[in-house]
Amino acid sequence: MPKEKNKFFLGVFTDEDDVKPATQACADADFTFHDVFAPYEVHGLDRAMGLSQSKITWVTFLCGLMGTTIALGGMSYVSWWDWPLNIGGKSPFPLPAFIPVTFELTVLIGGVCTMMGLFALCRIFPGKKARLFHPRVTDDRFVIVIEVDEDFDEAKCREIFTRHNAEEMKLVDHDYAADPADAEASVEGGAA
Amino acid sequence: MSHEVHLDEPETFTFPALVKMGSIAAMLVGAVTFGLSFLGGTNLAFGGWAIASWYVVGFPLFGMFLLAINHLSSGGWAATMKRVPEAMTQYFPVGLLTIGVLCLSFLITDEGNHSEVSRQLYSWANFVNHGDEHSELIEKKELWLNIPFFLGRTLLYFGIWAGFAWAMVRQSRKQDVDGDYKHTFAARKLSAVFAILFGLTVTFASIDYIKSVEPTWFSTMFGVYQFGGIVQSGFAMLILLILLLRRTGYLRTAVNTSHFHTLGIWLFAAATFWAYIWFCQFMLIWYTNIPEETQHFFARWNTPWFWITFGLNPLLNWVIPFLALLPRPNKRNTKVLAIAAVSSLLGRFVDLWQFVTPQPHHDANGLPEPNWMPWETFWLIGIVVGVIGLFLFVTLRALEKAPLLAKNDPFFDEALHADI
Repeated sequence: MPKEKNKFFLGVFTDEDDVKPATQACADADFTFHDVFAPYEVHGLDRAMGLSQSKITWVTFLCGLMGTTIALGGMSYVSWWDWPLNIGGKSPFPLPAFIPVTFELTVLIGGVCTMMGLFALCRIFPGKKARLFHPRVTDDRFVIVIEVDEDFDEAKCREIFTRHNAEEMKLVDHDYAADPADAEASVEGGAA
Repeated sequence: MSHEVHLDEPETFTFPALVKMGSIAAMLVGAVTFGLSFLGGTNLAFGGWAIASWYVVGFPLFGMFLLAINHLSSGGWAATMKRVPEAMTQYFPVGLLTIGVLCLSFLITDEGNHSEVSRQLYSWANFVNHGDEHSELIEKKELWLNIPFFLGRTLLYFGIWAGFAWAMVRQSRKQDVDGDYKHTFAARKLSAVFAILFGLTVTFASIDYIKSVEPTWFSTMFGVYQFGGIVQSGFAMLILLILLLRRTGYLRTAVNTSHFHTLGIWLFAAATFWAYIWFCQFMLIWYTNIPEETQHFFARWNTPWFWITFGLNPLLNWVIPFLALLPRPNKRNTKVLAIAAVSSLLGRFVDLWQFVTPQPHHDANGLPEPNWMPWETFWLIGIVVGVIGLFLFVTLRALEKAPLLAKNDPFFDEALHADI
């Protein structure tokens, strides 16, 4: 049975110390996270959500190696293999002189690819519409977004959120950006 | 998932008898090795002592460095373990004694010595001008490199280091009593002044004690190169000390996996910084190819020292720590951390050993030639073991004198919950 599309259950929290155990409780109850939003990096939230280690380190490592190879290979081909160059009486394969460029290209290609890899893994691209579930998530609120599927038990979820001092709970069938009227209501409702 | 950490561990440290015996045994090894090394000549013996005394003075310097940068950057993560670097800084007075022993080498002169090999470790001391170019070059440096000024500088360096160490630790002890945050702000001010003096004194001291073994050599990167080695070996020693404390039942909850991760990141960064500076010093000299600068590497390039200087040294100091600590899970694994730390400590010895003991003289063609081969001098590590034993004895005694957990530090709670 396919899950109901674009139906989410939100819990809005005011404190980092509430959202972390609430996330853990949701994970223990086998709810499916759409995501957990926070205005800043909350250490340990990824572990509470049960996320595995990011693959971005492999992108960095492999692209760094690619930079090393391109630099050493390119310089060796140009100044030694294709046409041996005599610069200042040094050997045509002056390895120490190649190292700074190799280092720079390793860092440059590794760094740029890490950024692009991060964009790809997070599905971020120029012109992408922001999907904000709550207008204050970029300010001072933490929001747990649970996907509503056939196993979703709303009463249990409400119980978990209430137990952890949730400020607001609601079922939505669209995200915030899709409905400005709803956004305004949220702002008024949440600005207690 | 706990935001309440229950500290259930001893709050004062007692020096375990077994560790105390171990450090005394290490001191005996050092004393015997130092005694035997005189059979190889005063030059070699004091060379070994210069390596060991400067190696170990690096630990209290690192302790001050870590305290100062954490104060200046509001680095809270180390607050639960800060008693360990504080205890490390208490070694300075004993370090001055070890440098004092090194200064005894000035009593030995080359008078009546007809061998090519000098009896003196520092050839600029008790200097006689032979009228050649080499002598002329040294004579020009007598303004800085002369015995009274050298002794005066030694007192100045240790006065600054020990004075700041005393003042920083005093603020921390006062905070233990009254819990006032003003002591943290006072320590922050001390740190700002110390950071500047640290850069200057470490540069000049490393030139005095180590680089002046080859007084005619030029390198403008020597100070920062030694700084890199001091920071790397310091983090390695801190990691091993904390592992020792945990093994004997201390800091079980106060130091968690995230602290080890942070220490691993630091060791990784320090190893890479050292490698960067080590390579740049060599590469620029190799590329520019000026005799005053290349003489140092000449004696290590076409001789068996090549495998030490360009093989073992970067292997222990950079390749092993770098590859061991590259993956994230390894930084959180205390066994891998210990391997990287031991490799760094061995590497620090190799780095100083390959610098001090070849002691090139000029052969018939005027080319530098090493007096000693690696297999003739590697056992000098025994002296380093001895002085490290002395350092452990002094540090762990100092650690007993204050509560192990600085509970009144404003960052203590933050450090207890460190989570990365």
